[in-house]
Amino acid sequence: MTFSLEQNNKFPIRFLELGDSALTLELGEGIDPQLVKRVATLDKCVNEAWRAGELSGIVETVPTYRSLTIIFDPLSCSRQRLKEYVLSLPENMFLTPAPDERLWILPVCYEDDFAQDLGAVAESAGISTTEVIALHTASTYLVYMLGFLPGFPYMGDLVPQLQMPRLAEPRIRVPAGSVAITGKQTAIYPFESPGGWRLLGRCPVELFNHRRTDPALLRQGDQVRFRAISRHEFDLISRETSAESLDLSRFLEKGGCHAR
Amino acid sequence: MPAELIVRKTGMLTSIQDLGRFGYRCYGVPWSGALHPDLVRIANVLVGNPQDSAVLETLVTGPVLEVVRGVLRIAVVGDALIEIVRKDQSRLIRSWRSVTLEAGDLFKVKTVSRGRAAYLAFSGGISVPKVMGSRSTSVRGHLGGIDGSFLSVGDSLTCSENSVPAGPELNFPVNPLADIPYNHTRDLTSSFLEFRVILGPQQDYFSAESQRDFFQQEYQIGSDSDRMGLRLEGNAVKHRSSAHREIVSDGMIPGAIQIPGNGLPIIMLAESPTVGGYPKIATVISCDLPKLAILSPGQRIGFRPVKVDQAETLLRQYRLGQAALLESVAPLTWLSDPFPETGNQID
Repeated sequence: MTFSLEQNNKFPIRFLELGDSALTLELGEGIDPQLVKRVATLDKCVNEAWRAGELSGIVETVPTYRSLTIIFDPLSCSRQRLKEYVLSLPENMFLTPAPDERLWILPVCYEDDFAQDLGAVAESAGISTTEVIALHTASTYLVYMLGFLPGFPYMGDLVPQLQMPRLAEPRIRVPAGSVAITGKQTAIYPFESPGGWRLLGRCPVELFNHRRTDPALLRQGDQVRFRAISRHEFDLISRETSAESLDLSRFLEKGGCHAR
Repeated sequence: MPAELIVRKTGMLTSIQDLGRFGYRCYGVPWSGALHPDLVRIANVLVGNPQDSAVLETLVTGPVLEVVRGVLRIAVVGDALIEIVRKDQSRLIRSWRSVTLEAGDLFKVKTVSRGRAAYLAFSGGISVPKVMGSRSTSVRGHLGGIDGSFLSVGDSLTCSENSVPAGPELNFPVNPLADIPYNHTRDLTSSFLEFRVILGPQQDYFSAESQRDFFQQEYQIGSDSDRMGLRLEGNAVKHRSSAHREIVSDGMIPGAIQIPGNGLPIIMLAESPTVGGYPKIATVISCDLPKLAILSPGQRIGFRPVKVDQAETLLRQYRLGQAALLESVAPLTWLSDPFPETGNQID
């Protein structure tokens, strides 16, 4: 069997084989907020059915922009049962918005050595650096998915003026907390890492900490807006972060914190 | 008093690993864990541990460890020669067996001679805190092990308990890696190993001709391979068109074979990112992945397609075989040791 194209009336689902121990359920092709919401809803249903014992042998699920990968032990999970379950989900389920959207207002310092590419971005957009910051902080971004590094959020969409390709030569070390852009997307690097995105500033809030109950600050479907802060305020928040005394809920504008 | 060892030489890319960190891929956290989990199980059984205890994984060349406190049993699994120095007396032993060490002993693991990985288990297991359910080191994720890093000179390894198993030293009488050639260049280039894969998830990004080429090709494992992936050298696999060189990122697991823009396959391993933006032509089946993951650069390999139901049957047989193999652990006798030592008794 290669892959099968199944029709769930309005929303087609392709079941793609990712080896003998995973299936990727592809709901669409592009990067689109409606599509991500359908993925998040499907993820929630599969996890609930697993927890309720309707599905067995699942190891974990990975939601992305456009698909849900379900990883399982092939000898204790029936992929036939999995497919039947997914196809039995009512079509209108995909129309219901995810109930627990959260809105974060995250502080970003766009100053000094935090903003290595701010000048170049402004120049190639033909606007001032102040205008770049104004544009970057004006939009509300959707967290499309987490990946690349633990807690790394792929967020969008950037306004067209700020959309530009990756650096021709990626940096070997992008510092932790760097706020960066490429294409339609913006992100925050949770750890120091190599990276080719353009750096606009730095966020003093820890994106990932394994000691927290919810190790990743953001999750798929969250909304994020940035607020420009001074270097002084950055240092104050950084100090609280280092002391692990920072109350994360103060950056939460809407919606509660609870486990997935 | 729990036994303690100090790292005197690290060897190449030596890290603390167990069977992996599961359940956090949705946050972008890779599984990590040993490249060959079945060797970890054997190593742990040889020193009387639960099969999932934390061990050292060492790639290419092993570490030098000094026991500074206590008594412990240690076992190396994977083909490597071991030197033990006790009171200025040196003795060589082979791997695949346990040996008891005491304070003052120096334990040197020489170059790994078949494949690139060897595993060192310590009675009681390595005592580092579990991070999100696992002691595995994820260097990319800065998680687990000691500060989320490969071992450094001077690191201290403490065993969880002081218990040295009673009874004789144990021996593993078969070599499950026997069909992997020794790491001499001539052997590697003259031997060929085939691995089974399931097509997809993005096989439709490659023409039928290109897929056929992929299965007829021979590849060599590249020298820049690491715990994240094996980079293959050989003829490039052609994408259907330039628009088929990338995908909107989707889920990825160890075993997935990505074809990036240059057409040279990358087989994802334990440290694989959770998502990837290149099309995946096929995925190595579960029971073939551990052996593939520990092959040395230069090894020639190829791929053969199988169906999902075949892969499931093969996995069932493989697991039964592994369970039976673990049962074959037996006391080490003079007869079961092909390199018996006399005179300078250490065990």
